[in-house]
Amino acid sequence: MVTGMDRRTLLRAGGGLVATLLAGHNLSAIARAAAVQRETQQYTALTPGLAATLDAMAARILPTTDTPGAREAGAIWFIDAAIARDLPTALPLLQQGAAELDTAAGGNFAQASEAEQDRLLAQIDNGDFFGLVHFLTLAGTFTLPEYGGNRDHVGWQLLGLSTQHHWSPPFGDYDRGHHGEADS
Amino acid sequence: MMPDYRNEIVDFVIVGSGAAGGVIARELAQAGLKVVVLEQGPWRKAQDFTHDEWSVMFQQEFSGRDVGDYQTFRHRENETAEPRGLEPEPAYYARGVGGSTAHFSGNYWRLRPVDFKEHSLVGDIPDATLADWPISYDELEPWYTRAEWEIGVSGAPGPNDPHRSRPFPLPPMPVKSSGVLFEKGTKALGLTPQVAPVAILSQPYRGRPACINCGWCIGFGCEVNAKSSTLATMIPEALATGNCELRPLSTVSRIEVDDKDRAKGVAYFDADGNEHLQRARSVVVAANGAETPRLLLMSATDRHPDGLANSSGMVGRNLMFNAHSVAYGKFEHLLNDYKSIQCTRIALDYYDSDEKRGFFGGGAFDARPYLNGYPVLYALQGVPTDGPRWGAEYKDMLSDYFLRNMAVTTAATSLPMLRNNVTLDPEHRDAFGRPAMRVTYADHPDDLSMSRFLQPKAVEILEAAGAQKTWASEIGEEVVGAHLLGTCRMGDDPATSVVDKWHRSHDINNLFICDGSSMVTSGRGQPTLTIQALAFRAADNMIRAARSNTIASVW
Repeated sequence: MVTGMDRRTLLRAGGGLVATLLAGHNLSAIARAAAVQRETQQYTALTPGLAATLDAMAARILPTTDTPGAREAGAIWFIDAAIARDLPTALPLLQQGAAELDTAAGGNFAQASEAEQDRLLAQIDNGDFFGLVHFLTLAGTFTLPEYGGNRDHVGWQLLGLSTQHHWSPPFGDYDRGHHGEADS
Repeated sequence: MMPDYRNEIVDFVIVGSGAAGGVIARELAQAGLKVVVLEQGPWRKAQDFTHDEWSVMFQQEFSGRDVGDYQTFRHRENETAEPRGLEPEPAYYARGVGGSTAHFSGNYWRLRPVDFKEHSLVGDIPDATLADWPISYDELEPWYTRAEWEIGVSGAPGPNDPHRSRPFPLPPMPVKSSGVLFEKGTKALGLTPQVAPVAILSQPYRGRPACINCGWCIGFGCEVNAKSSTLATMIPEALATGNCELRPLSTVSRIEVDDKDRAKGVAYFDADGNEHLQRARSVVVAANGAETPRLLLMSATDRHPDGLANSSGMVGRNLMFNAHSVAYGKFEHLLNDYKSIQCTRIALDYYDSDEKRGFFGGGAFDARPYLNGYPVLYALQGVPTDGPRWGAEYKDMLSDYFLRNMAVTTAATSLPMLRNNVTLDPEHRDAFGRPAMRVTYADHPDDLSMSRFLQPKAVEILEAAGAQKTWASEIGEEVVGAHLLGTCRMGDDPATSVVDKWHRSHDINNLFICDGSSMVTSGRGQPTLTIQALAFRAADNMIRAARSNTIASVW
């Protein structure tokens, strides 16, 4: 097989910091935290204010358009579950980054206009804080719903990825007619 | 049914249950020899495997992190090696019964005659330790055939394949859209595409079912046992003999030797951290091309201060990953390349090195989704690098590209070099107190040149197939290797090799070493079949040696 995966690619996504933060954490614990959330509908690690800022960021990274985005996927719930049980060392970076972003927005990033939010994010999108939130937003939107995000598989629907896990040919448009398919 | 050999002296103790260890265990046990297999990872069954990308790809579920066993990495020996977090370990392999055959993609190629005698053909190369193998393709051919039939392989011969004494046991897997497009693109360029041979079942075989085309092969275990891992094939057959005890969660810390340079057995930690000695008349190390040299180095004694079986100084050196690059294409219509196996078509037109290129190297192309069939990895790295990384346009691109993209990856030779190696880290230790594995790796300039030669052609293949847009990954020194080759090379000369042509240590008569570490050269990209052919051949010799009492045992 081709070499596992491209480390440079992951670092680009996460600013390098994600690597350290996620070291050796047990995701089954995240799944347990997500189950607690589902029962209580309350954040377990994030304050409501911090969650609002991060959720607003997630909603600009994968915005709600004519299709659902990170907000509808519940990415913030994945982020909260991950921080609560397995990534506590990430919390200070999120707190500091969100505080600076709120200050730059005149006090509350989440209540700024979308255009203003985009302008502010464009100023920090090469940094560690943005890189971490970007990574967590994508993971929370596209990984299994058991972890708190990707609710009702809206992330997978965005891609066109089915929840079916067994297939028969033809698989796509280009291999149609290459399988000795019977006339039907 | 499984025997308890903990307090017995067995004929063979095998370290590792993967590509080679699983084969050797089955062959020895079927020959009536008493065998213990020690596997550091857990014994997952098919039903234990998931499609959980977060756990497998981002938590490295199959790595040694749960026992604090982090590897360290550096490119060069004058750098300080550092451990990692999120990313795959530098020596990327799967712990657990079946080893990396449980998580590999199933690509299952033979080497060609040229691979065994390339030093004779091209001569010395600066900074490399290129050498001929002590065996030829013709000597290994019967064992390639045996491996294909015992393991279960789907395929069809290609136009320039080397001689094979039997056809493939199973017909090819159904071609994917990526395979059809690859055929179109390669043919337009005058290349010769062929079916990708895979150790995945296109039809039921020996009690196992055909592949269900779920698409979660690369990096994941198969939940239906259609992937021909040793977990699904060799291990159950070894256990069925009643002569083999498989002991998972057993972490070997040393090979014990007496003062006459005979191996007594191996010391290992159980899951509770208690240390035991498994006594054996012979020891087989099949722990993979990175863990095998680590174990030999950890087994140093006063008589063997540089590590066991290391009078040549070659243990751990000549590490080869195979060089790789990736090109991507996006098409108008749906490929749905996330379905089914990674590769259904390959092209080997640039297999041979050509001095007119100005550098050594040979390589291959294959058509596949690569990591873009997995949603999180796709979102992180699957769309063109010149586009936006967030926002509505990015989101639209994610939606547009997922079902319409494919990759042409290139795989190529790695030259063996002394400076690419596995050593013991002086700082870091795992939960058992064992020194961490330190991986030092920077590709030979010719390896990078070969990737730079192949990648533009991969882009051309995609363009000729009708891609609307193409893009390519940056080529640089490898930081992760899933192919762990060359670190205990075989050879006739004890001064320059670790094992002889039968995988017996030159230094320790009853110590056998067989896995990717045995390979003298890297081939062009897919080593698992060669490792398993070598294992069948090595096991055959071990059986004959055991029966003729030509092994110097302590016991």
